Amino acid sequence: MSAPHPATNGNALLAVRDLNFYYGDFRGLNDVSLDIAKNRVTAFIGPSGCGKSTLLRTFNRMYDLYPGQRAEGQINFHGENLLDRKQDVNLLRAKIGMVFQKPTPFPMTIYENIAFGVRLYEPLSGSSMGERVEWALRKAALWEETRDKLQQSGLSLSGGQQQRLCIARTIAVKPEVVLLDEPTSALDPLSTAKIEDLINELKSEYTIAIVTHNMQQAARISDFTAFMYLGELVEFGITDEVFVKPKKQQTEDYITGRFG
Amino acid sequence: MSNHLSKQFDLELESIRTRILQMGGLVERQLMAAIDAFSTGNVEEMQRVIRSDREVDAYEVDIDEECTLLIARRQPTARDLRLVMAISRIVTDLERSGDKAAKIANKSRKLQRAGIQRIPRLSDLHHCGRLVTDMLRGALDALARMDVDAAREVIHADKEIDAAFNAVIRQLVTYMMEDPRTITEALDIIWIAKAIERVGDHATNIAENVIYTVSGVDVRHTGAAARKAETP
Repeated sequence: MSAPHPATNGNALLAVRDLNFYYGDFRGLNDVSLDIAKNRVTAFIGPSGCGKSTLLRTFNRMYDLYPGQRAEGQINFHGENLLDRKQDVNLLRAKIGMVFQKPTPFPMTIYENIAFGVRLYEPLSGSSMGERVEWALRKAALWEETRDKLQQSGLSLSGGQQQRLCIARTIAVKPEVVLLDEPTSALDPLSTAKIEDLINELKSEYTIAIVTHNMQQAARISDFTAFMYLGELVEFGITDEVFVKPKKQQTEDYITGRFG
Repeated sequence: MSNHLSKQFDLELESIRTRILQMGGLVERQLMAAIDAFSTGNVEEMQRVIRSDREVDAYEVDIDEECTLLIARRQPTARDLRLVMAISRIVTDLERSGDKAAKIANKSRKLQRAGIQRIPRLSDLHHCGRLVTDMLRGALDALARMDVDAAREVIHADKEIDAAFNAVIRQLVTYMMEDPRTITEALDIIWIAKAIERVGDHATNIAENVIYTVSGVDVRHTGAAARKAETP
């Protein structure tokens, strides 16, 4: 197994080693190795089709939903390779939650949007569930705006609020890792700023991996940045270094807007 | 270096680069004129240098504004970011160098107007001024070409200036000890020498910023650049 990346100082919660990913015959990821550091934000940047979302989706085996897609290699999480067939995928997704580009609240009340997922894993009593819902909404900085309308539909919220509801739903089951796939690309700047602040607060308790098309967002919120191109990890390092003094020419060209 | 996907971004960066080099050219001419006027006693030329300092100041304000706008519009990163940061520092060094040229002209005019000349207009000081002008030109060339080796030579040359400056001061001290009536005049010449020596420091700063832009290494206050130049 290759050594952990020096930038993360061996403080890895997820250790990706020699990961290859296939869409049928097409190889979407090419020998990717990197560490996702515990309680840090790791950002994945790169042009469309570079494999960043593919990589993120291997972390909770999202690709299992699609026949013909498979991953080879290792993603070590608490001493186990989470790519192993014997992994309980549902349990895995409770530990490694995901938020998508478009807010996807369930067509239920705000309360139920959160309670629904919790019930799948924990049999909580009514009052404990109420506490959990409040806790999750507070964590997602949404409590003040929704405390008086928990019985309204989640769909009645604005786009930015819906996305925070999805984050609340994800953290309600107390995961260790939160995966964010372009969580703000459908949001206005104000909602984006709120989500970014939220990410910053959440990282003290969660490990966060985020895919973003917005490079300045990666520069603002992440501790580590991975630049990917054509299915390969081109550069991985401390974000401040990657954006001021990248090591690879390809990274430099991409982040300065010279690509292509 | 290849171009940005955004042509406008290229144009904006190029415009800043062009302006800073124009400003540098102006400061260099100001400095040379001031030093020559000190030696020749050409009061008209001294006055022209003093007046033209306003042009240097205008460049500073313009370029600062352009840098601010570029950061606001483009959020430059990596080498682009380092270039903009470097230019905004270089602008200050050039503006101060321009002030020094005006100061040299101003003190020279005062010396000239005093009428009595007890101390010869030291050729050592003129030589020192030429060295500094060369150094400033070298720093601007290094900036234009983004040439790290040329920048290192500039930094190395500053030692020579410091030595030449010390020699001039020693000479002036000798004059003052021999004849106290020369003290007023000698003090004005010391002001001029000090101004020249300071321009050498500004040229060094410019060269350090060129190294930072190209390599991403901040060599200020480290002596690293000078050391590297010494080793063959």
